[in-house]
Amino acid sequence: MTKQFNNPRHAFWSGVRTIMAMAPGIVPFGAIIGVTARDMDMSLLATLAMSMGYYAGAAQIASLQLMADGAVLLVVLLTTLLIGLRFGLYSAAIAPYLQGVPRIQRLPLLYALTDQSFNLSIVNYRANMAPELAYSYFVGTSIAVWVIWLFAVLLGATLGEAIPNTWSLEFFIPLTFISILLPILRGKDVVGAALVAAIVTMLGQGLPYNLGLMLGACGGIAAGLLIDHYAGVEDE
Amino acid sequence: MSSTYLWTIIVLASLMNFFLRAVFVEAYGRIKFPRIVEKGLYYVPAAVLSAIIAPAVLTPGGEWLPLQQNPQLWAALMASLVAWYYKSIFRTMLVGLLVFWGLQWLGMG
Repeated sequence: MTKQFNNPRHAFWSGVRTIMAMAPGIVPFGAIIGVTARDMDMSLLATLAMSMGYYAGAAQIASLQLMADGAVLLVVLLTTLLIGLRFGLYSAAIAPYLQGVPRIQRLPLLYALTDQSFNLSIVNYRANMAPELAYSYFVGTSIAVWVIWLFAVLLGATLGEAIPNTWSLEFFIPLTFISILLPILRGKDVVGAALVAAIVTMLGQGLPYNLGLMLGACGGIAAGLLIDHYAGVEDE
Repeated sequence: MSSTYLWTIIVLASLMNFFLRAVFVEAYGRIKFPRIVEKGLYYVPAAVLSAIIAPAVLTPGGEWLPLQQNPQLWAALMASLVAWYYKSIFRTMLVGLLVFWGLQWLGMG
C-alpha cells in the first residue's frame, strides 16, 4: 500500500491526513488517560508533563494504575521499561533509513516515535521511496499524532467524568493497528510472524510486567525467520 | 502519592522511553547486529502490531469472553476484512466503529 507522492509537502500532508483518519482511535485512549490522572488528583501540569515525557499511552496507563496502587518506584519503572522495549525494536528497524537526517531533526522525530508513525512510515522506506518523501510523510504522521494525543489527554483531564467509562472506548485504539497490519500481511513468513506473535502473546498473558507483548513479538520474529529459511526462496 | 515519587517516575520513565526510541538509530554503525537479528527486524511491524492487537481484541478488559458477548472481536474481524481488501485506513476505522456500536446497540457485550 505504498503511496505515491509528488513532493515533500504532499507527503507531509498525506501523513497528517492518515493520522486524522485514525483520530477516532487515538482520541478516546488519550482522553481515558486524562480522566484517570484527574481521578487520581494529579495536577494538570503533572498530567501534561507525564503525557509529553512518556509519550506512550500503554506505559502511562500502566504506570498510573501502579501508582494508584502505591507500587514501589522500581516496579513502576520496570513495567514502563518492559512495555517500552518495542520502541527499541522500532529504533533498530528504522535506524538505517534515518542516517541521512541531521541529528537536530532526527532526535525530536525519535522522541515522537509511536506505534502508528513507525509502522506507517517504515513501509515507505522499505519500498525504496525517495528518502525526502518518506521522511516528510514520517514527520507528518509524527506531528499529527503528537498534537492529537496531547489534545486528547487535555480533553480527558479537563472534561473528566463527562466521558463515561461504559463506552468501551479503549477498543478503538486496536482498530488503528488493524488498519496498518492487514495491508502489510504479504508472504507466508510475514503472515506466520503475525500469527505466532498473537498466539505467544495470548499464552504469555498471565506474565507480570506485560512480558507477554515482548515474548509474543520475539516469537513472531523467530517464526518469520524460520518460515523464510525453510519455505523461503520461491515466494516473493 | 507524594510529589517526589510522582516526579521521579515522570522524569526517569520519560528518559527511559526516549532512550529506547533513539538508541539504535544513534548507535547505528557502532553496534553491529548479528545477521539473523538484522534479518529478523524485517518482521518487527507485523509481529509487534499483532502482539498488541491480539489481547485487546480476544480478551478485552483482560478476560476471555464468550463469542456472543464480545463485540470487540466481531468488529475487529470485520475491520480486518475491510483493511485487507481495501487497504484503506479510513474505511477500516469506519467499519470497525459502526460494527462495534451496532452490536452494542443490539445488546451484545
